[in-house]
Amino acid sequence: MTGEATYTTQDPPTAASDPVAPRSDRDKILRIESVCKTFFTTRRTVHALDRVSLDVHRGEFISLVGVSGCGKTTLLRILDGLDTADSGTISLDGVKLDGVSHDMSYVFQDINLLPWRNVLDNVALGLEVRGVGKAERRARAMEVLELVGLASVAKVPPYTLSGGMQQRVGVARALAVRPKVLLMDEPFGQLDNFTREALQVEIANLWEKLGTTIVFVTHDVDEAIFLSDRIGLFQPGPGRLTEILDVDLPRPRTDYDVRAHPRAIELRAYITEHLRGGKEAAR
Amino acid sequence: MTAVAGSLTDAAPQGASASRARGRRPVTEWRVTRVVAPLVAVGVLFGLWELAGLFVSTSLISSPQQVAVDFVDQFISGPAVPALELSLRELYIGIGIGVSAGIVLGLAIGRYRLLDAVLSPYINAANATPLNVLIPLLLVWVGIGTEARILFIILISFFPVLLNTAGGLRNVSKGYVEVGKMLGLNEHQLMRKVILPASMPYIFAGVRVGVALGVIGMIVGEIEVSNVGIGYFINLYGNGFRTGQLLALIFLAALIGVANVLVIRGVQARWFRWISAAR
Repeated sequence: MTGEATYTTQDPPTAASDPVAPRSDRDKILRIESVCKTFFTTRRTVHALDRVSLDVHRGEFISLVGVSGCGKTTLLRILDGLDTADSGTISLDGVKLDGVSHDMSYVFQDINLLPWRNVLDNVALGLEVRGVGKAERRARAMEVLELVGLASVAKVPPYTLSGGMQQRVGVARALAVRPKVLLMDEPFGQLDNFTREALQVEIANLWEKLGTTIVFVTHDVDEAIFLSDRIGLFQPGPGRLTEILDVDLPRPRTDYDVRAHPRAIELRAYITEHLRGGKEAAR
Repeated sequence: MTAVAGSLTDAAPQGASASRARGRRPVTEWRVTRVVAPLVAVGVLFGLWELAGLFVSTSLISSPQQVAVDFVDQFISGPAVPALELSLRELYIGIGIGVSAGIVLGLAIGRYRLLDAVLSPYINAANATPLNVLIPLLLVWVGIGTEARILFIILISFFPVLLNTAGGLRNVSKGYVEVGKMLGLNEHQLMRKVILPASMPYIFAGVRVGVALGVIGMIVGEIEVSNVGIGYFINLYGNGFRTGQLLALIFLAALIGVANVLVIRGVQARWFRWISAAR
């Protein structure tokens, strides 16, 4: 293993060979180059990320999948500027990033809606600090709330909402600032199965409608297959992006049960095998 | 509820209809625990007390009836009215200054680590000291008047507010702060829009303690600094074995404390409802 990301050079078994445009021609919105990150604690040193490189294409839905502790969340946090990389660069539309970017927003697993603000004002917070006037930010926040189907609870305190509704407010909050790239960190990890599936469908629809580039971290393989154009596989110890798979399943995937699709079954088997190998390597 | 939780149409806040459906029982329960039980407890106490008054000398425990009469005599129209006015004026000046200073300095310390490092030895020492040992010093500095009493109330109400405010700022959930950072709030905005509101539960807790200690400070000051206000009458009645009137004073002190708590709770319920609702 070289620690370098390899772009699907070795295709999973019987890959349907219908490549879209050549990669070099695609518009790259986000370039991650050789990012490293090591955490030092008193007990041990954790190599969270080892030379991770990845190009994210404009408008794509890319998932990062791996076992816990493989660095995928760390990478996402570094992308948003919540953590800093030890080395390596990240550039958005050709501009090197330093600190928190106004052009990306983040959907946390722990939603942390501010309880002293109602739903609408939670969604509008990002606009508030971007100097958008009160009337306009209310209107824009309302717009995204409508998008996630929560316009009717705009005036309600967030703690009265169910977990699924709170997470949709979390998505609305991130979308309100009209980010170029939406980063989602296991956003549905704490929800029950039914709610999670409903939200997966909703996110897929939102993505189709808005065309926002989404980088999505999950350890749920089916979730990644259902949602993604590409899936980046992470291996732990040190955290590396070891492979990127094309999810060449037709869209919209809400039209049929994507999990039963033969190609999805193949992908799942391949990814599971890959992750299992990683787990053993980590021991 | 769960089944629709993720659908596009479950717009009503969850639980709104459910709580209405089982609304009856909780209300009855609430009445029993919050209204009936305390009334019964108080009733039993007064009954036993009245009964005891029949057998024991009135200079030891008096009786509820007598205490009520003494209360009205002293504080509705009697000689203690100007004393009460003086006590309350000093109390609220002292608490006002002590609590505001505690919040302001607490915010500063919570925000600036260096300030915290410089001041924390003093603050911890002062907080661990029983502050009434400072009274002789206050007397030397400002004399035996209003100033010393108010100063003591300020001191005693100041520290719990300071410590709670600073601690509150430091204990703000990391998640809230990250949400703010993610949305692009600068340090100032983060403070005003996230950290400060998130610390309100701690600040309120500090204010409750500070105000309660302020009442203690008031009485202590009036006994140890100079004999005026309610403290004067406490000494007078205590030394004269006038138990009925003394007990009336105790009730008065309790009443002031309860009134303060109600006001603070009212403010919290009116403007910071999320504090109790969000938990």
